[in-house]
Amino acid sequence: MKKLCFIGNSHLAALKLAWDDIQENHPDLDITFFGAYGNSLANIAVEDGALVPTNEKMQLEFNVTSYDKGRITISEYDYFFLFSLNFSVNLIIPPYDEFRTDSQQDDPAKHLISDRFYKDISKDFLTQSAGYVVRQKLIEAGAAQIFISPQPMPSEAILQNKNGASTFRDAHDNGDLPAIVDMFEDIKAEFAEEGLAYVDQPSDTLNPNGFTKDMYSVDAIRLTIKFNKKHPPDDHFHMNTHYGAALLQKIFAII
Amino acid sequence: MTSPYHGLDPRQFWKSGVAEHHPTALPDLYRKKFDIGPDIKIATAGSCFAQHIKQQLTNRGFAVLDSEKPPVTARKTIAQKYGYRLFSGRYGNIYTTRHLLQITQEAFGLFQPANAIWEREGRFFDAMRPTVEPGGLETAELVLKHRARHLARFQKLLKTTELFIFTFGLTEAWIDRKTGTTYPTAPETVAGTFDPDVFVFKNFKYEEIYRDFLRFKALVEKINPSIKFLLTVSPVPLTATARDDHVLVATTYSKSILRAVAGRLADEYDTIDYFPSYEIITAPTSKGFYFEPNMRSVSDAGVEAVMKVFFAQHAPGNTAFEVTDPNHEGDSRRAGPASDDDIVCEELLLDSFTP
Repeated sequence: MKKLCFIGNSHLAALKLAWDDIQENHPDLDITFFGAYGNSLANIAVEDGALVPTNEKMQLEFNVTSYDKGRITISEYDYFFLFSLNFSVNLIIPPYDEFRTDSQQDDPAKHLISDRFYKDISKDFLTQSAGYVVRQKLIEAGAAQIFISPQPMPSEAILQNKNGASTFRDAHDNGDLPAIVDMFEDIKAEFAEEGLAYVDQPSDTLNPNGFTKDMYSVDAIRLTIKFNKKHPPDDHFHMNTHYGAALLQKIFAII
Repeated sequence: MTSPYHGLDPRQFWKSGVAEHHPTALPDLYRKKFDIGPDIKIATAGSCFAQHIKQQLTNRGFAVLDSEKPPVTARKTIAQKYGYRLFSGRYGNIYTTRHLLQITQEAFGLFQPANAIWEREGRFFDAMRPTVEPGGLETAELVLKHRARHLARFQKLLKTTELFIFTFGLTEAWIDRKTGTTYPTAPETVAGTFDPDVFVFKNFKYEEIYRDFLRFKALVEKINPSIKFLLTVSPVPLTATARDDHVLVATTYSKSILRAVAGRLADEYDTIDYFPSYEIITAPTSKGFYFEPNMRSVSDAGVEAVMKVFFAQHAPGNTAFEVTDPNHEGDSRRAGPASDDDIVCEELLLDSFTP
C-alpha cells in the first residue's frame, strides 16, 4: 500500500471530498489529509522527524482533517503533496492593481516598475508562501518525494463578477494575464532547478483563455468540520470535487 | 572692562562643553532652529549616510515621504536593491549639490542631462541613478520612460515637502565636459564607458557648492515657498579620491568645504538649519568609536548617537516615538536599511578598484 500525505489550506477540501467518493476503489492507497487555513502552515514546526502544529488553531484544524492524527510523521508516508498553500498566480498578481511593468499595457495612473523587479519580488514572495516553506520543512524533517500543486486559476466566471477580485479581470481585459502566468511558470522552472516538483492543474480543466472552466468551481465546499458549507457563489477561487477528482487522477499517474 | 567671553554659555567653552563630559553625552550640542514635529512632511536626499536618517525618522514615526513606493509584497532587501525605500524618491544617492540642482532643474524642464543613458552588456542604465535597476532595462527608450515618470514624482515631492533634509556627501564628481552634467558615479563603475574626451573629473569648490544649493533652494521655493531645509554633512570618508592626493587628505579637504558651506547656509537663512551629525561621528572626542573597523562605515552606535541628539530636540521625552514602522514584519519590510550592511552606496563600489 502506498501512503500519501496531502497537506493544504482551504483548497484541500476539493481533494478530500473527491477522495472520499473514490477511496474504496483504491485499496492500494492510503491518503491522510492535513489542512489549515490561509498561509498559517508556514508556521508549522519540525520536531523529531515530524511536522507539528505550533498553535491550538492549527492543531484543531489538523485533527479535523486527519481524523486526529494531529502531526505529520514523515516516516509514515511515501509521498507528500502540497496543495495551493498560496503557491499561486494569485499570490503574485496583486501588484497589478497599482503598478504596471514595461511589458504590460501602460497606464499613466499606475506606477511603472521594471519586469525584472516584478519577477524578483514575485519569486521572493513565493518563497514566503506556505507551499514553499512547508516543502523546505518536509525536507528538513526527512521527506523525499514532495510535490507542489499550485492553486488553480480562478474560474472564468470571475470575468463576469463586477463586484470584486478585479485584478484578474483587469489583467485579462488588458491582455496582460498570459504574461503574468508565463512569469509564474518561469519562476516555477527556476525553483525546479532547486528540486521543486509539481503536479500542475490538469490542462483539461482550463479554458483556452487560461481560466478554470466554471464547472469545476460551482458548489465548491468549504474546509470545515462537517464539510457541509459551500463557498459563496462569487468565490471563483475554490474548486469542487470534480476538480479534486481530476487532480487525483493526475496524482495517481505520478505515483 | 569685561571680556567678551565673560558670561557665555558653558557649551561655548571646550572645557565645560566637551572635556568635562563623557564623549557620548555632550550636553546642548544641538539647538534646533525650528520645530520638526511628527506631522511635518519630510523628504530626505543626499549621500549614503542620508539613508540612515530616513530609516531612523521613519522608525520613530516621523512623516517621511516616499514618492515612489514599491509593491507591498516587496521585501526590504529586494526593494532596496532596486533603489526603493532608501530615500523619499527613487533618485539614488545624490552626493553633490550640483547633482541635486540638476535633477531639480530637469524635473522642471530646465535641464537635460547629457550622456544620460549608459550601457552594459546590452542593457541600459539611467546614468543619473545607475544602481536603481541592477540589471538595467531592455532599451534606452525604457530608461527615458522610467526617468520621466520618476521626475514627475520628484517634482510632486518637492511641492509637498515641508522639510527637505539633505546630506552633503562629496565635492568630487565626474561630469560631462561640454554640458557639466554631473553624475553620481564615474562611468564604468556601474555601467557606461569612460571616455576622457567626454568625461572629466571635477572637484567642486566652496563657492560652487554654496551657489548650487542656493539655486536649488530658489527653484524649490518658487513652487513651495514655505519649505524649510535641514542640512547635514556625511561623516563617511571617501572610498577613493580621483585627486592626486592621499585619500585622508582629500577627505578632509572635501568634508571641510561641505561643512563650511552647510554652516554658512544655516547662518544666513532662517529656513535652513544645520544638524551636527558630522561632528558627533568624527570629533576627536568620539575617538573613532562610531566607526566600524574599516574606519569608514558608521556603526549602529554612531547612528544611534546621532539620532539621540536629534530626537532630544525634536521629540523630547516622547515615549510614543519608538519603533512604529507600520510595515514592520520582523525585519522583512521595515522601511530603510536596518544596518550599515544594508546601505546602498555606489561610492563603495570604488573599493573594487583598490590595488
